[in-house]
Amino acid sequence: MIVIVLPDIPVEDRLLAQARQGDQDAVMKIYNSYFPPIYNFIRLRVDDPTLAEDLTSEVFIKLVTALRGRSAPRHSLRGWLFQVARNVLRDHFGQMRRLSTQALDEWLPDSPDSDPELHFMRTLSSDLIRRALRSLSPDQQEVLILRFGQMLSLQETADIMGKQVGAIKSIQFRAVGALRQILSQMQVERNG
Amino acid sequence: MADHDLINAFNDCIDRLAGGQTVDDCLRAYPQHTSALRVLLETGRLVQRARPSSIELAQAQERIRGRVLDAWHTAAVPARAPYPLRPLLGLAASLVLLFAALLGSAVASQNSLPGDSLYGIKRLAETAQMALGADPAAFEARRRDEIRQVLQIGRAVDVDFSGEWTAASGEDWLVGDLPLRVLAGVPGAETARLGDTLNIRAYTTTQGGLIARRIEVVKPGLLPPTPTPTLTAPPTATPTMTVTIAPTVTPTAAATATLTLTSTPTATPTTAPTSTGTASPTSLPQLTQTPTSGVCQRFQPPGWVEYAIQPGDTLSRLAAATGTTVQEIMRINCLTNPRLVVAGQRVYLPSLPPPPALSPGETPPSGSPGGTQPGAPQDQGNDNANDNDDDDSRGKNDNSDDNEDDDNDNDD
Repeated sequence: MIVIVLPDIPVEDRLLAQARQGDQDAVMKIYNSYFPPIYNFIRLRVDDPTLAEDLTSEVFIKLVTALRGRSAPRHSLRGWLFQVARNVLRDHFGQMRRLSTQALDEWLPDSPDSDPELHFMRTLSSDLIRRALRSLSPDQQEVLILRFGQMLSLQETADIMGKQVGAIKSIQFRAVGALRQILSQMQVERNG
Repeated sequence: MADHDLINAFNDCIDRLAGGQTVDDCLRAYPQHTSALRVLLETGRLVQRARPSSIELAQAQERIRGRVLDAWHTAAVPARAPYPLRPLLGLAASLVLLFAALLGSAVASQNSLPGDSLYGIKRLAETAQMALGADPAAFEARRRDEIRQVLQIGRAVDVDFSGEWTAASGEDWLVGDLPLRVLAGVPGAETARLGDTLNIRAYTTTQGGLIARRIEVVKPGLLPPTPTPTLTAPPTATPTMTVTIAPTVTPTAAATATLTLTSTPTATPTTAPTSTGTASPTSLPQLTQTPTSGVCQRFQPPGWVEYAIQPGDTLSRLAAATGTTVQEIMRINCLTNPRLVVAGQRVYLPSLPPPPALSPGETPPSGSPGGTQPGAPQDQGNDNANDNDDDDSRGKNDNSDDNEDDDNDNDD
């Protein structure tokens, strides 16, 4: 009966138009809608909540500046915001040397019984997961965050990342495998 | 060296999860990859669990809001000067006019009202003074005084003023302590919230009415509107004026005069109504939080908390989890369409609900709000069935815009 709709439906185009005309209430509505996904995205990429706040505020300050200056997007606001968030992260981290794609062996299941594994995963704290996530390359982190965290489509993720869909498919597969290996390693260290 | 088959199956499963299916649904679709997919998908879902708590999110959102608003105002094009002057004249011209005004008609114009021939010069002089750094607040108060005088003498003229919106009863608003009638369809009325500071363009009538033409929010109110319905106007220390249609009435500038709105005859016990001569009986209107007509005001009932809608939430789940009804949530939060609730949107609820969309038996992450609701049974089955309805809005079909390169277009 009741459904939930993620942002970025055509209603947003009208809000964007109103915001460009100086409607502060439209700006605040946009801010309320998009702050959570952008903050969540950035928060998973940096380990300090205060830093995440600063970087997120940069994204929205860029948005309102663009709205006043008429260079803001007219559609696909969500994609635009994520791209700006990626750029803000890049600027913050400086020129990220691209991590070798992959120092870790590609993971394949080695036993049919993975229940202990699943049990282990259930006990992981979000802190630990974040730390493991940040061991991946920036692209891998972001693909996972967009695909699993934000539940964006393959195409939209590809657009935000500036890559082909085939590349995203590859990245997400390898990223999850790498993440699992890192978590296993953490489990070994915890128990050992 | 994983085969393409597995990579594609994995990708398809990610989409299925986003569409509301469970991991088991996916494994049934790809029986040849069951064990690999299970671990891959469970690992991927950890990313969801790693996200910050909704409390941390809400606090960050409030802390950042001010900065973003400041940037919005800073980046604004210069505000247009009030009638009749436009900044086309510039500062230099304003100074010249200031001197001219000082030399001659400025003094004569001091007492002029909207509609008088010298009124334009009065506003010109004020604009010049503001250009030199005078505080606009004094002039704003003067605008409102002028309007009171205009109303009292029964002149019909266009006016503009600004003030804080402090009360409302149906179409009758109180802005800057002036009774303003806001009819349906007035531009900007729906964006204003009780407590905001508003710029108002209006006109007066010979019957002493002040009717809004256009409303603009200058500054949002600091606090959300108070939830308790009040029977009185703002604190009695606020000076108010009697506005009646009887021509024999002299304006009372007493500190606690009665505010009267001739159009609302409901009586309250707080102050004695004033009736003068042949004026119709007047009394304080009963001011309520949600006016019978006009704008719905979202408010926070005592004990209710604010919650950010998470992906996977439905109003029925939230209502059931917090001991209320969907109708109540919609009424409190001024929701008109239960189908149109956005992830990230904040609503008031009786309490914080457990996180959405957990598989039975899975413990919530340690960072979740409250942290005291492990394994709370979720109506996962029903929710998933409904979540398929909006696949088209989750990005599967919104590829119409995704390939446009219009991020940098500068046309209007």
